[in-house]
Amino acid sequence: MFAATSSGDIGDVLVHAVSHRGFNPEELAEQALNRIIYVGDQSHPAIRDQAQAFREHIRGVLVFYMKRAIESNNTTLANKLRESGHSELVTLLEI
Amino acid sequence: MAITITTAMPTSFKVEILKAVHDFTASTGDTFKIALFVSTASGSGTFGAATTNYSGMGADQLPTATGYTQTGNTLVSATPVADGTTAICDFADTTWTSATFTTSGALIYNSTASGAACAVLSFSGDQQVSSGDFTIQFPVAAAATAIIRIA
Repeated sequence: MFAATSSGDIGDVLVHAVSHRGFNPEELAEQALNRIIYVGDQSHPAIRDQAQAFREHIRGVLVFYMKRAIESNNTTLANKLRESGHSELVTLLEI
Repeated sequence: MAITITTAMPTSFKVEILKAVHDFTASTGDTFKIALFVSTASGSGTFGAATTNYSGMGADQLPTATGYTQTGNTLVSATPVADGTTAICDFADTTWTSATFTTSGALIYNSTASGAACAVLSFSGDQQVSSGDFTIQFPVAAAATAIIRIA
């Protein structure tokens, strides 16, 4: 007689919430890193240290380019506001 | 009476997998959604392995207001793959923007399959957002961590 055993599991989600604003680049970078790099508790210490160092390097890159994306998008929005005669609103885009 | 939510894979979902009810294939598969439960004190139902369908949320789902619309957000599924000997599925993180609510958990369900429940998620207490963004981040898609795993 043959029997096959199997199990189904549900993983743990993370909940991120901010009030009276949206997420900033640092918070979004952390969320991205959670998806890009996973370091298990059982990892060899040397590998874990290497992964953590890589994680910190990637964090800096992500934050830099997210800020650039915001600035670049603000430039686009500022031009659209000026073109539609709302130059006074451009100051709201300044961070 | 308070709501009781236990993170679980519904038993009905296990049966439905064997009946080929769910298709998690990206783009061409079924439509999966995630709906939010009310706060612990505001609800009264019990949700977990015995939960079978979205319709069971009833009044325990957040009402449509301030950043949340009933039936919840549509999830973007990744086509299931194997990690070692474990089959895993994954979704892109989902966000409610400009939201104001308090929630204690969520239900992932198959909208294409008449609301069949796929996963019950407890937030281990109330999570609150006020005029801000609320994101549910799914775990890394790996054998030990993925949101839905069959080993």
